[in-house]
Amino acid sequence: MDAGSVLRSLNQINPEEELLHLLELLGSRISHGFDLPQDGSEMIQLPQISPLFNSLRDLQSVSAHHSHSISVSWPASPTGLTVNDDAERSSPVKQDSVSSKFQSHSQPLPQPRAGLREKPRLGRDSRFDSFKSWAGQIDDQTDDIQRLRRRSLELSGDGDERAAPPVHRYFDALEGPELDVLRPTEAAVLPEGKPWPFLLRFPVSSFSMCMGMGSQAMLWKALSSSPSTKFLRISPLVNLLLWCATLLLMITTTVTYTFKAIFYFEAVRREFYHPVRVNFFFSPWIAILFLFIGLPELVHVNFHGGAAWYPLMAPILCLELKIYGQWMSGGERRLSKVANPSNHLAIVGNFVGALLGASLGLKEGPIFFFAVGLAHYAVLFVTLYQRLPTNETLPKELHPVFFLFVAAPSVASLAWARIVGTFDYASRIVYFIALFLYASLVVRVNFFRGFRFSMAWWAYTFPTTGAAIATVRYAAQVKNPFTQSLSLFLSAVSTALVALVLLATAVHAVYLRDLFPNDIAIAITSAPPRSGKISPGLSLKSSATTREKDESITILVNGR
Amino acid sequence: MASSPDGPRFVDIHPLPADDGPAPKPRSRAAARQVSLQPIRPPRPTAADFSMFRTKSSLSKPPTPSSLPLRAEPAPSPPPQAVVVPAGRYFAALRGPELDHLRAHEDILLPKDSTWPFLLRFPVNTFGVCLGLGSQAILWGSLSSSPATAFLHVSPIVNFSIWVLALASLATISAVYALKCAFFFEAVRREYFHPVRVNFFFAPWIVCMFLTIGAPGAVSTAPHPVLWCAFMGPVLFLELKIYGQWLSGGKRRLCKVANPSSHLSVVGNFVGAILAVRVGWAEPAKFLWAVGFAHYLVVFVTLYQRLPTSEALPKELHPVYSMFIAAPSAASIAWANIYGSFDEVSRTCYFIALFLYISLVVRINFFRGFRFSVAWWSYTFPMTTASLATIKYAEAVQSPVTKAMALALSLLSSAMVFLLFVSTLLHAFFWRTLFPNDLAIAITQNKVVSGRKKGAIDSKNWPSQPQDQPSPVPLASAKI
Repeated sequence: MDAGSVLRSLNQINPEEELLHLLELLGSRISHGFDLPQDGSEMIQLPQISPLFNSLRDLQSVSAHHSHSISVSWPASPTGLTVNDDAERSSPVKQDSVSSKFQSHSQPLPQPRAGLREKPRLGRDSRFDSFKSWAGQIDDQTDDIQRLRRRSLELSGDGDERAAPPVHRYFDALEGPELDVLRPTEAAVLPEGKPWPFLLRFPVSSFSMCMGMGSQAMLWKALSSSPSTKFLRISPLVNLLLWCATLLLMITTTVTYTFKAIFYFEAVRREFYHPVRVNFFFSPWIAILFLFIGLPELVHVNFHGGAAWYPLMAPILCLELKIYGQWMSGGERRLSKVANPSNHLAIVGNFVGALLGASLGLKEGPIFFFAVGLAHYAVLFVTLYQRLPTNETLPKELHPVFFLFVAAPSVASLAWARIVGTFDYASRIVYFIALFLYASLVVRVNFFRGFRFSMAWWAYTFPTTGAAIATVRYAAQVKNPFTQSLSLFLSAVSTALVALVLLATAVHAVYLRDLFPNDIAIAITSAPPRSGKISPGLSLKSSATTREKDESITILVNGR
Repeated sequence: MASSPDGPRFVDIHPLPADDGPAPKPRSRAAARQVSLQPIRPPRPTAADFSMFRTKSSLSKPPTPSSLPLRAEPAPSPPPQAVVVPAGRYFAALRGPELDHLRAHEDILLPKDSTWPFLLRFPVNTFGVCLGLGSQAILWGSLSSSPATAFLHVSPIVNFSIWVLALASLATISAVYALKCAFFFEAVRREYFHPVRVNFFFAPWIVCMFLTIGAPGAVSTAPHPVLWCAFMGPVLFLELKIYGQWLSGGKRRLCKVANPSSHLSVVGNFVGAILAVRVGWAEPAKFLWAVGFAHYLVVFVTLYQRLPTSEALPKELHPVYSMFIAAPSAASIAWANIYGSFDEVSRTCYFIALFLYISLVVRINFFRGFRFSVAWWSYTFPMTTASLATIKYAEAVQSPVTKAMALALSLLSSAMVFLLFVSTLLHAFFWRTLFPNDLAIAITQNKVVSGRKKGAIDSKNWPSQPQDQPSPVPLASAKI
């Protein structure tokens, strides 16, 4: 009597009484090969399975107790058998998709492997389901097993936990200063050969483009309005133009990323857990602050005495409580591990916010953010300078990311000058720190060659712009030909840099068409691959299979 | 090694208290109380057990006839404990955020299953009680006198009574600790070498300054500079010692010993600066502020980094983290006192403290599940200092928001102190577990050779430990 006949007989017998017996039988028949459908001999075919599902649904009371033994013999994770009334099964699934569903069900983290092994079937590409917010819900309403599995993952509650890799995995599996290159021994959970859906390839660092452009708008506003650069007679139209371009860019990026958050929430979550990427979650809010600071005089907005400032700063404060708390309170994300120049993005928001708040005429709130920023900037600066051996993300060589060192002090000097009303000694001290760091990076400029362009480079242009704006402000206080020419020079450098990066972006977007390459950083596996098995997919499969088999053995023992 | 003859000696002695002492495993609370109510020490063996912690004068005395039979065989010629226990041993043998739990594989010099003499169980952390009460006295003093909180109409009597209470507790604790110094000097020395405990040696002097600052108007009007010299002198001396240890490396360099309690050794500067302004000496105040700020910066950065080398840092959050708030808020008050107005620098320091406060409060649920200890008192004074700074701030920026903040923070800190007060009383008189055996001072100087009588020691170690704390105690007190 093979498994199929057992199932067929299920329709005739009383399920309440016979189920336990049946499951034991199934377990004994199938368990030794259930995970390898290639054998074929003992495969259960789905049309035969669905009657059992129906009977299982009637068995709410029994399933709680026996769900574990079911999970062994059945193609599902343990929770997959918590069958629900509301998961309707309208029609049996097509025969040819059975084996893949069957297989994926028997694994704790099934979706990626299904994607790796299977070709897309019947027009629906299921390989990216693991990153979708509702995998298959929209375009495959009738895929009932899919729904069942999803439902069970939601019920069990820990399906998501298992999907997110722990932080040390990011360090183990990725390399490079931005932790975005897969190590050769690792395998991605998504197919590496061909481009993924656009939304999956759209990283959060794309917001840095808005930052770069927004800071340019600020710079040209300062150039056109500052008394030290009056002699240039720059039209405020440049500012307006840049500002409108930034606004457009911001809207586009925000809409796109919102779509990503809606459709591929798992990808966004993985970006948030990425030790470098998480800092870029500050960049949209900073870009909005830039838009407010660089607001052209031609655009009239009533700020109601700065009341608009508080809602702008609220998300930054919440993120800071989260991120700084992680640094301090230890665990895997302590600062001595994750410190990286891009952490400056998490700091600089304080100063930008203080600058905007002080420009709107507020006092206490800006000082609050200035203080918070200063304290954490001191910590970060010292930590980065120390280059602790435990710091796994610090790039070995210089990299454009190091320009972020310039950002925080230059914006801090601007913010303090705005708070106290004059570019006083404290502002100058901070400004000169920024200037020195800038100089010490510029003299090493030939170390900066030979890196692959990425969207994150935009984030590295805004520090130079910040330094240029601070210099313009300084020249307004100390007005002499030297400071004026310095501000002119730095402004030219930053604008040239932005133009270069813009050019590179355009070339990559239009000509090379690789502006958004596959974002490997979000596709690492949760568990390290077994040694020796390098080929993608295989490693994951082996580990998961072993675990399942162990489980099945123990449960078989318990069942008898 | 000199300590090797010790091992057998104590193994020989251990059975004695177990034989005629109390039942070894009292399970219920009543039984635990019975244990501590009993006359704790069987006279003879105790005298031999704890002699190593006695002051040298009593050691050098010719052995009394009563202790002769015991001391006959081992012949303890030079007291081996006179050698300093190296800092690494404290990290190797102890664990916990306050380094006061013995690791499972370690042995101690004193018997684990009997209660030690009271003085040996009296840690220097107890001065934290005075810290908490003294800062509360200041808080209520400024609540009753500050224009920002005038609408509350707080009576100065509250300040006075808390101040008297703090003074009384300081007098009592100082007297007891002085007795400990007199009789068990070795224990005090070992506390001084303990990487966490050493910071609490600043506490008595800080308390004295608190009491001087918070003295009610009825007691004194303006303190005399002599008081400042008397209280600040020991702090400066200790600082030279401790900061020197941090700087000059060795086993006690900062990246090894950094711990939130290290803030205690920094905050003394700011309190001293406030007192210096009160006595009218502005320049020493600036000096102290500068010293304090420089070292605060270093401690802050080091703690934030959580270097893998700093072994004393607790893995999770712990009440000790509230120490982060103390130094910046004290610094802001000190700066405002020195320069006469709550200016931008003061506000910067104050807001740093406020942010740290918030970032700890939002993680409040990480703070549960720790055993109460008397050291918790020291963790209330940062909150009180933050409330004081908020009152100062509300004076500078008069608005309903700042007043509400001042009120809320003051209430929070007072409630916390009250809770601790209640739980201290409960621990002291009801459960009688306020002063458990102070394992931190009794670690061996060398590592116990693994395998040697391991089973015997471990079975003796831990069964006796949990009985010190009946199960409802930690849960009830941890809810705070």
